[in-house]
Amino acid sequence: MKVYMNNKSESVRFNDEKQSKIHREDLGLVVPEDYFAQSKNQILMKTVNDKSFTIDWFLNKKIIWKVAASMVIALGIGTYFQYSPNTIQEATTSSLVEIKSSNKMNQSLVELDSNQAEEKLESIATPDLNKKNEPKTLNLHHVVQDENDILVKSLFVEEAEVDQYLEKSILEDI
Amino acid sequence: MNQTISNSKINDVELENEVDFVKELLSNKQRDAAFKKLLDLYQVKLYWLIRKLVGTHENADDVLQNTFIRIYKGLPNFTQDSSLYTWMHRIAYNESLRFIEQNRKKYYISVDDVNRKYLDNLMGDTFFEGDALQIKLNQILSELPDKHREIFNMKYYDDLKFREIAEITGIKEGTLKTSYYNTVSIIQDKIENIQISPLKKVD
Repeated sequence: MKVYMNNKSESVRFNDEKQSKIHREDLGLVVPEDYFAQSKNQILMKTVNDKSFTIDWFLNKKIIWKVAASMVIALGIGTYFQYSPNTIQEATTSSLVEIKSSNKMNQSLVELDSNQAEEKLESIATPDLNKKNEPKTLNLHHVVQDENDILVKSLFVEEAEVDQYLEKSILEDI
Repeated sequence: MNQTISNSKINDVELENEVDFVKELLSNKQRDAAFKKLLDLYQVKLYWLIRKLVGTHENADDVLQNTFIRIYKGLPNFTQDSSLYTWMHRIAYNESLRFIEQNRKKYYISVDDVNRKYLDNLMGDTFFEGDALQIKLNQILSELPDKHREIFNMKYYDDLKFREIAEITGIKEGTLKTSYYNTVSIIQDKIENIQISPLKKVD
């Protein structure tokens, strides 16, 4: 290709001169001396040698915009599903189920004194931040069930401690 | 002048392997070198196309620079539906028309006065060295309807094919041929009256 272009440049030059000649002789149109060389340099300064064009060239490629648009859409959809109300509720329910099935909580409650146990029960059983009324019902249910578990666990704990816990917290709740 | 007119057929400067050349133009590594080559190939041709549309050298220089900037910017979107040569001619043609329209609005020139203004500008141009006959020929051309003059210039002086002119102007080939031969006939009649030999024949 390059060989062809180099060979061609002579004929291009010949044709250019021929075209300039016909315009001069037919229509009286002339150009300043060495105009085309100077004009070429000016055009190159404004295109090839202009660094700002590198960015323009990059942004002009349609594929870049398509990829960028796809990424924005994907990010938008991801963010929506992450923070949508349904997702938050599901996360709350699943965390409550985990709490419910956890035996470690009961063990630690027994080891703590009654006030601490009550506080911990409340803090663990009420993680829902958005809906305050609904979790209260759920929490009461869980607390009763947890209390039953505590009674079972009391078989392995000293009676005095169990009595103290029952007197101070559970009887009051009932 | 007679000899110039009869021998004025200008050979096409077409690329034998345009696809490869376009690949070079679109390649990041080869783009700049290829663009310089593009300038070498088409700068003069586009200049004369523009010059005959906008009249003066100064205007043609502005439009030529804008044309090549547009070509450079537009290369990533060149779809190769038409040849590179035709695509660039279309950009030059549209850029010239845009320039004429901007000037018309800027100087409050009515559409009817555009041709008269064209001739006035041409006469006042430092780079017009026409004698009486050349002035007359320019006058005849300027009196033609815009489209007829543009078609005539593209065919006669720029040596474009009817197919290429159709792509550039968006006018059907058949209409172009009719327009061209009518224009040639009109110009010949007027030239004969001022004793200038007939124009060359176009196949």
